[in-house]
Amino acid sequence: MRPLPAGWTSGQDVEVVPSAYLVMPGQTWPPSNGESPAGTATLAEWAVDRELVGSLLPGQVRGGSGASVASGSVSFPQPADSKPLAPWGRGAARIVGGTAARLTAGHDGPQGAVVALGAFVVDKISGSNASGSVEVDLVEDSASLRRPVALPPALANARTANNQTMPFGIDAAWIIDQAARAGGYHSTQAITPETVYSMPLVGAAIPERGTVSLTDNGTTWRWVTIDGLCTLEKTSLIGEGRVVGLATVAPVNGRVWLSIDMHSSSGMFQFAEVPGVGGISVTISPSSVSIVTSGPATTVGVPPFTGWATISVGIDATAKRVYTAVNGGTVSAANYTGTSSVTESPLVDVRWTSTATRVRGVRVIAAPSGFGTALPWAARSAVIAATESPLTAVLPGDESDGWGLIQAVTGATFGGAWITEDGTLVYRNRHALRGIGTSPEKVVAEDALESLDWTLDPGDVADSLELTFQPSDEQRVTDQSITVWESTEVVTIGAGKTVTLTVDVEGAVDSLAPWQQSVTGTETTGSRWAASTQRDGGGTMPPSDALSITNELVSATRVRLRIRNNTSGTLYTAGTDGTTQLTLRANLLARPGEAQTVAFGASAEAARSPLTVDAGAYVQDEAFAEILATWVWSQVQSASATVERVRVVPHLGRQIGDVIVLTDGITELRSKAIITGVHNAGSAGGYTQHLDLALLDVTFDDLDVLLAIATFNTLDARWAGLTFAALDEWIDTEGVPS
Amino acid sequence: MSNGSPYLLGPLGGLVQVEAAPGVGVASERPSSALITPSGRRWRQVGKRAPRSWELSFTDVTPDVLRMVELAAEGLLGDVWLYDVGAARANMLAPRDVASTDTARTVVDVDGIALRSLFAGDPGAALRADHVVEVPVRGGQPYTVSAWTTGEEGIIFNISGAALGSWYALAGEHRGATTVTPAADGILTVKVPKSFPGHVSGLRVHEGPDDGRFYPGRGTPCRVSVDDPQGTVSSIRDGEHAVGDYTVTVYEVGGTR
Repeated sequence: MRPLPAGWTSGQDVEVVPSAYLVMPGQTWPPSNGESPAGTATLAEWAVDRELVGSLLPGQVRGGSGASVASGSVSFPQPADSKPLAPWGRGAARIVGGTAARLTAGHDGPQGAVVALGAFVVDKISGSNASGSVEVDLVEDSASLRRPVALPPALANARTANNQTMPFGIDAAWIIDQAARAGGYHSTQAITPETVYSMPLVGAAIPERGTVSLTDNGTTWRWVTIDGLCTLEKTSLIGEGRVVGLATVAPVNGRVWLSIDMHSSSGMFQFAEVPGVGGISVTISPSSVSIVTSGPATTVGVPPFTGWATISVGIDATAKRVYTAVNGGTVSAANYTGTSSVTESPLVDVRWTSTATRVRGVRVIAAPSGFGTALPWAARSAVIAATESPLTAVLPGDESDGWGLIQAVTGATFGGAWITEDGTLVYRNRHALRGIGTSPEKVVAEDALESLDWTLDPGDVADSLELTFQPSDEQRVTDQSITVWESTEVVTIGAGKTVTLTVDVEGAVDSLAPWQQSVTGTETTGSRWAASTQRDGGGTMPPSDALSITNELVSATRVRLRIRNNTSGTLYTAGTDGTTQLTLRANLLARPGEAQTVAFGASAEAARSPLTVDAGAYVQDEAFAEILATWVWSQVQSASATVERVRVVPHLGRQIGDVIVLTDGITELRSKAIITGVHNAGSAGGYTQHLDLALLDVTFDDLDVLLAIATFNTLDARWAGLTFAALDEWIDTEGVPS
Repeated sequence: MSNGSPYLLGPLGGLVQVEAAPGVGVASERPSSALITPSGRRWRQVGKRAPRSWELSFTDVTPDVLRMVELAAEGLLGDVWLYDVGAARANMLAPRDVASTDTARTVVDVDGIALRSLFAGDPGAALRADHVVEVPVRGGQPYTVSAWTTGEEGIIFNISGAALGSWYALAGEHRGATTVTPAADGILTVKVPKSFPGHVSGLRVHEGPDDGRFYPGRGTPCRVSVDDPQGTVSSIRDGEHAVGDYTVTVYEVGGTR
C-alpha cells in the first residue's frame, strides 16, 4: 500500500471524487485550457487494469511466470473552444499516436499533488465528428525492457584479483538486475563517466568498473533481502572477512566522492587505506562518517534516515575537508585533521569490517570540480529482492530480451515481477508473495467489500511434482588440464608478424593457462602450441620461443589470442601429420549441465494431477532445488480459495503484491490474502476499484510472531486436550496476524 | 434597477436583464455514487462541484424580450454569462472560495458557524499563500466585501480592479467589511494577503450594502450555455410581433468561473 497525498478522503464515509488526468509530455494535443497545459487531458472516464499472472499463487498454479503487464483505457471530452481533435487536424488539433503517457489522479489539478496510476504508451485512439469525446487505449510502457540484452557470462568461482574465490556465489537476482539495467531500471545509482569504481552488489560481487579481491578469514556470507532489496550479509561473527575492491583512483586535485547504499540497520563499512601505500580511511555507518589519517579521527554526523539511503562522502585531500550528503540532499562540510601520506589518492581499498553490514552500490567517483552540490542522485527505479537461487555460472541462454529474462527467472524462482504505477520495476521472491515480512492492511469484508465471491479450483492441487533444474557442469582443477578449445585450422603467421584470433569458447572459462610449446605432442596440461615451417607440418621443430602467444579474457566466453612469430621465417601452426596444434587450457570451465529432476508424490504413471516445473538454468544448486521443490510441494497439497473481481471501497494506494488480512463476520473468515489484480475505473460520479485476491495459508513466520516467547509449559497449557484437527484449526485462525 | 428582474444574461460588459416569469426552477447536479456493503454500511462518493441549470419561463412575451436568449443559443454572443441577482445578494464567490475543506486548518467563527481558515499555516509559515478571487461586477452597483477573522490587527483584504479599497482591522475586531461602487462593468480582484497576523475565513462579496451576515458562495455570475427557447405562439395581430409563452434552460458550464 503506498501513501496518498495529504487531504485525500479515501476510506471515509463520504469521499470527494478525484479528477483523473492523462499527461502526455511534449504533445500539443489536447490544447491547453484554463486548468491544464497542452498535452494534458482531464478525463471523463478512465480504467486501469493490473494483474499478477502465474507464479504458483492459488488459482494460478499451472499458469506461466509471475509477471504483470498493465493496460488502460480513457476518454476525454473534445476541447470546448477550439476545433475538435482528429488525426487529420491542423496544428494543435492534430492527434498523434504512440506517445508516452502518464495517468494520474488528484484533487488540485494536474500540477498539484497527484497519485500515479500508471506509465503507459498510447495505443489505439478513436473518436468521431459527431461525438463529443475521444477514446484512447493505453498499454504499459515496457518497450525499453524488450530490447535485446547481452547478458555478460559470469562464473561464481572465478578467481579474484588476489587469486581467491568468492564463497557466496551468484544469486539469480543478478540476472534480473542486468536485464533491468539494460532497460534503464536501476536498483543502485547508475554509472557515470566520472565513476572510477562501481560494484552494485545485487546478487553478485561483479564490479561494473574496477576489480574485486577477497580476504576470507573463515567468514560466511549470503545474499538476503532487506526491505525488499537484495544485499550481501555477513553471517558469521568470527573472523574479519573482507571483500576488497581495487580501484586505481586518480582523483583530480585530490578530490574524490565515495558513495554506498546503506540500510539504517547496517553496521560499519570502511573505505580503507592501501596497506604499505597509505592514504585516508573512511568509515561510514548509518549515523556517522569517520575520517582517519595520520592524526586522530574526525567524526561527522549523518542526518538520520530509515530504510535504505545513499550516503556519499567527498574527500578533498588538499584542503582537508570532508563533505557528506544523504541521497540527493544538502551537502554538509567539515574539516579533518592530520595528513595522508599520499595527497592524491585517498583510498584504494574497499572493505567491510563488521557483521550485519547491509550495503550495495559501492562507488568511487572522481570529482573534477568542487563539492558544492551533492552527487547527482536519482530515486531507485528497480526494487529487486534476492531470489535465493545460487548459481555457479551464468551462461548465454535463449531469452534475448530483458523482459523475457526477467519472466524466466521469476517463473523459475516462483517470485513475482511487475512494473508499479510510478514506473518502478519490482521483483519479489516467493516469501514476499506469501506475506512474510509485511505488515498487512486489515480489511473487514462485510464493511469494505460489495460481496465476497470465492472460487476453489482443484487445478491447484497436484499429487505428483517434478521440478527440473539444470546445474552447470563445472570443472575445476589446479593443474591447468581442462581443454577449453582446440584450433581447427592451420594459422599462418608471417615472420615477425602478430596474428590475432578471437576464440568463442563453449561455456565459460577462467584462469587460462599460459602458452608453452608442445614438445611431445601429448601433453595434457598448459596451453600448448606447435609450429612448423611447412604448411603440412613436419620438419624440424622450431625453437621453444618461436611463437609468443598471449591470452586475453575478453569475457567469460570469449578469448583473444595474440600469436607473435619471433622467427625470421613464416610459421604454420601445424604439427606432424598436418594436425592443427593450438590447444587452449584453463583451470575452470563451466558448461550447461544435464537437467536433473527432483520428484515428489506419486509416480508419473499413477499421478492423476501431475505438476511439472522446469526451472531451467536459473536453478543450479541441488540443495536449493530440494528446498524449492519441498516448498512447491507444500503449496500444492491443498487448494486455497481465490476471490475474483470483488468490488471494494476504493483506495488508490492498493497495489498488486500487497498482503491484506481479510476477515468476514458473515462467513467467519480470517485469512491473509494477497492482491493479485487491481482494476480501477472512474467516471463523473465516482470511481470504483475491483480486486482479485488469493487467500494465503498461515506461514511458520506468522506462528513465530504469534508464539514468540512461549515456553513449553505455555504451549502445553494452551493446547491441552486438543486433537490434531482442532490444533490445525487453531493454527489456521490464530496464526493470522491481527 | 427599476423592475427588479432577477437575471441578467449576455457577454461580460453587456449584461442585459431577462424578464423571466416568477418561478424559476434551479437544479444542481452534483455527480455521486454509493456502495452499500453487506453490513449495511453506505460509502458515498460525491463530485467536487455541482453545476446548476436554470429553467426560465416567459409568458405573453414579444420577441424583444427573447433577443439575448436567442442570440446566446445560436452562439453569436461568444462567452455568455448569467448574473443571478438573488445569488449575488447572498455571496458571489464560488462555493469553495469562501473557506477551506482542509480539516487540519484553524477554525474561524464566521457568523456563528465554525469554518476553516483560508490559510494553510500560522502567520509566517511557508505553506501560507495569498488567497485571491476575481469577481465580475456591474458598474453603478454597490458591492460589499467582508470577511471574518480570529481577531488580530492588520489588513484583511485588498480590492483592486473596478475600484480600489482595502480593509484594515484593529485588534479584537472579528470582522471586516467595505463597500465599493465600480464606475463601470469590470472584474473586481480581492486579495486576502498572507501577511495578516491571524486567520481569515468566510470571505463574502455581495451586491448591496453590508448587512453583517454570512451566506455560502453561490458562484455568480457564471458562464452558461443556453438552449434554444421552446414554446407556443399564442397570438399574432396585423402589423405587430407574435406573442407567445416560452421556456429556456440555461446550463452552467466552465471550470472555476
